[in-house]
Amino acid sequence: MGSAIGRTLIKLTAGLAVVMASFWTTTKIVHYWSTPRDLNVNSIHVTEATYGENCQSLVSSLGHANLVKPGNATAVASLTCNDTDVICPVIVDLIRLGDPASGCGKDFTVSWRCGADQTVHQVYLPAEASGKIAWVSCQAQ
Amino acid sequence: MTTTEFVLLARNRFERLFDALVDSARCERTMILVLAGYVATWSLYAAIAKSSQDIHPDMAEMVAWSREIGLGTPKHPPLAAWLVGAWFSVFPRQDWAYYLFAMIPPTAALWITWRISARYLPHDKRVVGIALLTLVPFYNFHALKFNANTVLTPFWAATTWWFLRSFETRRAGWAVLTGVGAAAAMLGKYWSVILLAGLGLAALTDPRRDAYFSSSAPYLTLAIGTILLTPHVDWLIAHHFVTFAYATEAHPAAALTAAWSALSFIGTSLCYVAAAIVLSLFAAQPSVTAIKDTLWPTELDRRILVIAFAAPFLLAACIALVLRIGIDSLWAISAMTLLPVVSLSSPLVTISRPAAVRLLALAIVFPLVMIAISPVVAIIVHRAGVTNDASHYRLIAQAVERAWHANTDKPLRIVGGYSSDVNGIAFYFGNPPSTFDIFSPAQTPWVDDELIRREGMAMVCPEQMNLCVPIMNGFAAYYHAAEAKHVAVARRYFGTDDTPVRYEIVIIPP
Repeated sequence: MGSAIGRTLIKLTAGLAVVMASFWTTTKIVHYWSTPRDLNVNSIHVTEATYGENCQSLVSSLGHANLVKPGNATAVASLTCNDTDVICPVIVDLIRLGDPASGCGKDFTVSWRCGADQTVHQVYLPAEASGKIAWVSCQAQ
Repeated sequence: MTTTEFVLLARNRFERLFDALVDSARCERTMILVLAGYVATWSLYAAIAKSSQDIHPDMAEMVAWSREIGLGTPKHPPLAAWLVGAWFSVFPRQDWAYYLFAMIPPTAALWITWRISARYLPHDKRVVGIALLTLVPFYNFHALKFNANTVLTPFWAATTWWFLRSFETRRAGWAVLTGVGAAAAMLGKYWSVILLAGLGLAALTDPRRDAYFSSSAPYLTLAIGTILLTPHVDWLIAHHFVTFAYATEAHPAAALTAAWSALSFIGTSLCYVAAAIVLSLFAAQPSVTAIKDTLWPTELDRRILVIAFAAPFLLAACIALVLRIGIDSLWAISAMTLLPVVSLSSPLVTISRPAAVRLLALAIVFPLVMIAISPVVAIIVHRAGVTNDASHYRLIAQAVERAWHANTDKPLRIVGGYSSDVNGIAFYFGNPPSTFDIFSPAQTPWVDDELIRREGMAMVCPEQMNLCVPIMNGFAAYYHAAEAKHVAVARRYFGTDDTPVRYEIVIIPP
């Protein structure tokens, strides 16, 4: 029994070693032949986007759960705007974002950085933000 | 010729074809010819039945990606776009050529199933197996909409075939091929991880596993697969796992919805293969013992097939539940390779020659009937209308080109709009421009601010589409566009127009 477990562990370790060695070697070759990616100073990096922050402390009288969490729209905004240097519309879309606090008019905030600059920019849309567009840009700040 | 004489003549032809397919000396060459006919028949069906619409936006998206991408796309790994790019570097950018291309993956998968079944089925059951598989819509109707799911069909089939050979023989050649197939499947769609996990599970649960894992075969497979995948993984890391973000963001689900999608995935997959299963049951009329032997064979050689076939479905359901994502039944499109082998390999399942010939005849006649009714399909589609403005792409492209040249003599390099519209339109330009998704610029990273300022851009939106025109006007104001033009477009087919749609076109001159 013990030797069977030992043999299995050796095989698993061998498999893992093969994967790691293959990955490491190929990565070195790829990096040797390729040019490093040019990071545009004007490219957008979304740091956080939140839908309904103003409703976070609301206790619904209708029994609906309050699901507002800071950053609940970050994934959507990132997928829309990250790494582009073109002006970028973040649409406050109920279908994609869901309704985290039913019965409460929700605002929308999106924050982003530009290139390597650590300054955080922000756009705020007052409630009700659903159906509105927050324009994100790293051009001519 | 009387009807009886015609039926007798047709039956004789099917009998002769069946004889050729079960004859060891002629079967391989005959199957190649039959499959060539299969590609031609279904491509012709699509060219006629879809002649009242333009190509599907998912197909157009692949063409747009194929002109721009390297080791990855904003949504999926790059294999499908690479293949499309290679195809259109040889063939003209025409709808018929794309439908011809779309039929190659399922047909290649059918041939691979034919090759796999040579090891497990007698000649007559091999023929029946392929005939039944051609009645599964994944191998024709769904395949005609080429996308990241349909491209997987031959690669899953090849990986399964090569893995089974590698597991059995432990030879280096099969092991290397398994690694190649696994990497190709993963470069088609990450969903292929369920195939690889399923094959791993099949190997681990087989009593012959010690011999396999003590050989060099699995390690060769791992090494080759990793080497071929690494450039894409490296790209993925450099691009902040953008395709993973798309995969999780595009299919989120609550626990209950995920559970429902898991059930639905298995249930709907069964529905898709129902015709094939029911026909095989009619033809074979198996006993309960034969059904039991089919579902859980006593022979190890066959049991590993059942596990390799069933595991991806069960793993898919588990993934939906654990990761809380909604899974689509069309993701089972590539998982049917072993269906005929599993369902027919029991020696207790027998099919008489007349029944086998009838199934072959059905498989041959069905696509011919579809060709015969394809003009009617086209007219019905024209009257019912299609989604995503898919009947207007060619006409919009012409209108955009006219609007562009009214503003500038320079060639049009970028066309912007909602993703499905803009991909569809771009397919129909003489010199296809780059696409720009105005709703989500990160999804078209090949267009940057400097390029728009230098080359200009044409943008188009359906006027009734929510938010499209306001977003387009946002870009128009920022880049100082010319005055907007308005056009109404309706497709004429067999003397009738479809519902006219108004579009707004905005030109940003270079």
